[in-house]
Amino acid sequence: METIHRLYRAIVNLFRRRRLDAEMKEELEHHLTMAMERNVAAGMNAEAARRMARTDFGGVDQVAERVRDTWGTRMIDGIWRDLRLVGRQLRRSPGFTVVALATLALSLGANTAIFSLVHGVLLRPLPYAESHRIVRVLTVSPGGGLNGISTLDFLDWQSQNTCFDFMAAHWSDSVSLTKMGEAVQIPEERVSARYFDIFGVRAALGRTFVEGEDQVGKDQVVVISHGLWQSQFGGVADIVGGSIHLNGTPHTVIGVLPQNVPFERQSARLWRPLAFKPENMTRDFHWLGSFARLREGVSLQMARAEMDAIGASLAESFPESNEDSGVAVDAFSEVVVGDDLRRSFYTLFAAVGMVQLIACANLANLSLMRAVGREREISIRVAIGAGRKVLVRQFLTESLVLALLGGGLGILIGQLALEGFQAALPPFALPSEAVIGLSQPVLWFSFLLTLLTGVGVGLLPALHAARPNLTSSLRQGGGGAGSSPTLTKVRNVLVVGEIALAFVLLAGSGLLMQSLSKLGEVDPGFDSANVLTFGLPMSPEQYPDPVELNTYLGDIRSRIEALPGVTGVAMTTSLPMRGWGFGVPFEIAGQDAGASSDRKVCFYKMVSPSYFQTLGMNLRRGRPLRETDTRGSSPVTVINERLVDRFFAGEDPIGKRIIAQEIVPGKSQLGAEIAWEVVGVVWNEAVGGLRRQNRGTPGMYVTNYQNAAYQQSVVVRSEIDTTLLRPAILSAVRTINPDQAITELKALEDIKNDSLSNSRFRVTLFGLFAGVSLLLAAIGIYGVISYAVTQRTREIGIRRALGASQPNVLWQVLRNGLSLTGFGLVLGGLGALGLGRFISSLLFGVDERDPLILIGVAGALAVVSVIACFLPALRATKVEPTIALRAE
Amino acid sequence: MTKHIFPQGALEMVVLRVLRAEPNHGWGIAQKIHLISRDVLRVEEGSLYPALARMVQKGWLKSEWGTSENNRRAKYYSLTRLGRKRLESEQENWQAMAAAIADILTNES
Repeated sequence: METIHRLYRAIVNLFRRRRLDAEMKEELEHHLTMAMERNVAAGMNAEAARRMARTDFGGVDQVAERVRDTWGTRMIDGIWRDLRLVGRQLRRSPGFTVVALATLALSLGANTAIFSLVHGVLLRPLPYAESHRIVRVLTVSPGGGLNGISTLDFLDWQSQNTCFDFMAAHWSDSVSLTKMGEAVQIPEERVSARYFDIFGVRAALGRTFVEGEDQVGKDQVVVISHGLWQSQFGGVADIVGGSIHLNGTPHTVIGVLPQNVPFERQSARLWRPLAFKPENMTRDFHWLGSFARLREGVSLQMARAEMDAIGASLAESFPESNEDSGVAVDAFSEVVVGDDLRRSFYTLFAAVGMVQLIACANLANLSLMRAVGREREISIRVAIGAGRKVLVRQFLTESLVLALLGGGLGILIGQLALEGFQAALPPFALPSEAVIGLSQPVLWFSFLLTLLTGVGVGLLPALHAARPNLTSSLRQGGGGAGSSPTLTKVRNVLVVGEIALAFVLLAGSGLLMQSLSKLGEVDPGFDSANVLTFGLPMSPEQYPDPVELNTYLGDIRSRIEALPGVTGVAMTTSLPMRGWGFGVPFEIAGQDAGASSDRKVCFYKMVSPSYFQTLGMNLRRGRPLRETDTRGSSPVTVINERLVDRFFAGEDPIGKRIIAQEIVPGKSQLGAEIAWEVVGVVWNEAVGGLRRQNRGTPGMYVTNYQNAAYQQSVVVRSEIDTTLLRPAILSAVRTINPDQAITELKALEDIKNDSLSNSRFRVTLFGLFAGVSLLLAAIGIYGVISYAVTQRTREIGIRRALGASQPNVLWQVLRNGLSLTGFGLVLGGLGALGLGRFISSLLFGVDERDPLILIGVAGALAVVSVIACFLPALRATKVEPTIALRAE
Repeated sequence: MTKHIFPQGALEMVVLRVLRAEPNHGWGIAQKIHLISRDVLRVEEGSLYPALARMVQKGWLKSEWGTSENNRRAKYYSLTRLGRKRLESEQENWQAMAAAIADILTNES
């Protein structure tokens, strides 16, 4: 505080220095005049009176100087002088300056960018009022996993709890918005009335839902997002109170959300009340998610205890559906960022931190060498009276100037990198609550890191310059001065550290790279080349009769099949790698039902019989589904290999019956129990990410004739590039039904790639950091060895003169570098094992201690450092004994 | 080099004490110091000015130009709120120290 005040005064004084000076002179003059007058009054003559006044006063010029000292302007002058000196010094060695600036700008830029991700996603508090009170409530299924909530469970939880202010269910869907005859499909969220109150989000225009609006009959209201309001309704203010058509029925717009809430970044663009219809009132269909707001003063533990009790009492009352089920209450802040994402970011943050350390070590080393090179200059300056404080300040100024310049460039680079990241990450890869950008805390972080780097880099040379026995270097005549044992040790430690850190980074990126390539090799169970997919949303209001629905779908299918280039068309309730769609509990006829805790569950897709062939899925046994497996014929299913492995225990599944309830079309409800006859077995299709595909997910397929569904996506295989097909498909669908919306027209290849994009993002960045660290470490070791050779020129000359052979000298120098590398590799190996453990959950198909990767990385580093040592070593062998000896 | 007959802190204290009564200019302050200290603590008059300047930078004093008794332009110094506070705490310190010294001296005799 004191210092800041003094600095402030100094700067102010700097600008009024001339006036201060004049005033001071006038003041001193006044004093002298008064003294003289007094002396004259005492009877002296003028000359004696003046002399006496001056004697009493002391040296006028000295006094004036001491007054000037108090203004603090000298400090500024000093800083200014230092800066100019630094400027000269840096200009004199442009190579060093460019390398240093580039290193600093890149490392600080990378740190800034990664920290803004970490800050925006992990550190920043959730942008909701009292966000610590928001919790997520879900069912714990008998197996221990989390599951959606059934309607009746939710209603019981909601009415029986005392620990929440509000509890709200939500369910994602999409709805067709008809405007002037054009239909567009819009992702929506169906939510309980108090949903927005849980997050403390109010409408910017109008209002959000009120209690009771989530009842049938009152639910024809809608809240829209700011984005939708702008894009579909031109941002007109009178939208509130207006009526819009959703799925063919009029709804009143009651509110528009504000622009800057996380809801704007979700996929849903509009929100409708979730009113439960009589057919929803089941306890076995787990379809809802829910959030709640803790009552004031209620802790998470208290809420968990109460919800556990409610869950237990429901399990007792409804053992049929709820036995062994429970309730999970989790703080929203804990679940909003998935564990993998959290781990990825922290890993990247650590990686980029290591790059920073390596960069610092390198620059410290470089500056140290420069400092040693300037030893004579410094000695002379000390000899003619430069204080050590001045020298230390000068070195620190130099590194701080470099760091600040680098930091400034770094922020620009960080901004660019951040834009790159955001473009590289798939949409919705980050939680909608995340706000990424160079916010104030991020800039502070960069600034502090910059200062720290500046001090860190400058400290060693500064301390070196302040060493007490500088005069010795004058006597020694330069040559041997820098090779003081401590200094050499410090440089060696820095290089060992660099190699160790580079090892850790390379090993980490090796592991991640190997995982990515293993993921890419995973057989997804289908052939994704030249397949186009899109969603075909339909509502029960349009086609209440499943037979009518299937006729409609059949029309669309044959219309697309007729397009030139198309070789196959299929429908499915869920596209490959886009989740289960539906899941059902099932039993196998003739097998013991077993305890409910290992109740069998599998995904359940309702597909057109052409599904397997269109996707190129391998039939392992039996027959595929056929066009003849219709509503009237006996119910059949094709199951996947995983289901066979898991639940048939070596028996032949063909001909066995799987008992599962059908999904009632268009309703969130399980229907009649049906004994599906297994007619075939297909190879596992990836339903989620490729990570889980190795084991596969048990699943069954039935025809959409035998179990119709409104949630349909279309798969089109073609012989030609799928992009060429897009317009033809759109118009084919429109000729059947101009109102039919089409969503997410996308190549299957892209869906597959999207699922890898997180891994790819991680690998790219990590690999980049590792590459940079390798380069920096190589420069570091080259610098140290090269310097050592220069220092030892004379010694080498003597050795040569005494008969040491060239290979002998070469080996001497190489050995020096290799022992440093060896130390670095041992330390780095240990570090790499630690990192491997931390990121093991991000790895796939590769052991975290994979010896091949560790050995490969060690080998690569060794090769690089040998090359880095070889150049200076070669130089050493060229030393001519006579010249080296004469050089001194 | 000017010798400090006063320790720096003491000079500052005396200046604060002198200015407590009324604002004064450098010459006036110097005369008052001679008076107060009954010329026992002699000071090279010039060294008063760096002290004054330092105290202005520290914010204990403020200065403005005025006209002196014999119609000369002179720079008048006066205490700021900070200077007043400083004087109070310094006075306590000095009194405590003086008491302690007195104590030591009497005990020794």
